[in-house]
Amino acid sequence: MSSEITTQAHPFRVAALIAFLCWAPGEAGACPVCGADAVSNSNVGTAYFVTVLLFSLLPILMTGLFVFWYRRRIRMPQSPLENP
Amino acid sequence: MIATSEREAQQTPVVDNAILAMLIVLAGEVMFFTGMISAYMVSRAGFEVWPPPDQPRLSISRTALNTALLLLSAPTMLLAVRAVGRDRRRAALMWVLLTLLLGTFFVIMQGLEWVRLIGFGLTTTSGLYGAFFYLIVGAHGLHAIIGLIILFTAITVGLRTASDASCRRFVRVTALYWIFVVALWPILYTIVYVL
Repeated sequence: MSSEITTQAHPFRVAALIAFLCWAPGEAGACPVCGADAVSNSNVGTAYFVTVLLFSLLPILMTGLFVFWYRRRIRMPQSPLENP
Repeated sequence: MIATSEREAQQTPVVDNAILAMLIVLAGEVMFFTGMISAYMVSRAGFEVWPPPDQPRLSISRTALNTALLLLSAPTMLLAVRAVGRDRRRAALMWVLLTLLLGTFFVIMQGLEWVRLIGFGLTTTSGLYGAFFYLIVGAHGLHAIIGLIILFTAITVGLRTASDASCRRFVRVTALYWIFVVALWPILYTIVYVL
C-alpha cells in the first residue's frame, strides 16, 4: 500500500466539483424577497448582483486601506503633533 | 535615559487605541449603511417607475442647500483638529462650536422636512418608498444627533477640562466620527433624493 499523496486532480473529481459549483448557487438563493424577482426581472437581478458584489468587496477594500495606512504609518517618522 | 526613551517609543502604539476603536466602529457603520442601501436598490429595481406615482416627491433643492451646510462642517472640524494639534484650544473650541452649529442646523432642517413630508402623506406605512426613506435618512439623522452629542461633549468636557493629550485625542476621535457622518450624507442624498 502506498502512502504517497497524489496532487494530480482526477478528471472525474474536477467535473464533480464544477457541477457542484454550478448547482450550489441556485440552491443557496433562499431569499424569499429578492430571490424570485432576481430570476424573472432582469433589473432586480442586476441590482442583486451589484449589491452582492459591493457587500463582498467592501470589507476587503476597507481592510486593504487600513493595512496600507497602517504600513505607511509604521514607516513614517512620527511628528511631534501626532503623539499626544 | 536613551534606553528609557527607546523603550517608551517601542511601547507607544502606532495607532492610538481610541482612534483604532473608532475605526472599527465606523467599519461596522459602513456595512450597516451598505446593507440598507443594498436593500433599497434591490427593492426599487422591481418598480417600473420610482418614486411610485402616488407618493409625494422629495424636495431636492431644499435638501441640497442643507447638504451644502453639512458639507461645510467637515472643514471646520478639520480646522479644529489642526488647532488642537497646535495647542490653540480657544481656536479649536470656536471651530468645534461652529461645526456643532452647522450640524444642529442640518438636523433641524431635516426635521422640518420630515414634518412637511408626513403632512403630505409620506409615512413609513404609506409604502416601500416612505419606509426606505425614513429608514435610511432616519438612520443617518440618528448618527448626526449622536455626532452632535459627541461634539457638545468635546466642547464641554474635552476642550475645557481634560489634559492636552486627552484633549487632542478627544477632538481627533470626534472629528473621525463627524467626518464619517458628513461624508456619508452626499452618498445617501444622491441615492435617495436624486436617482
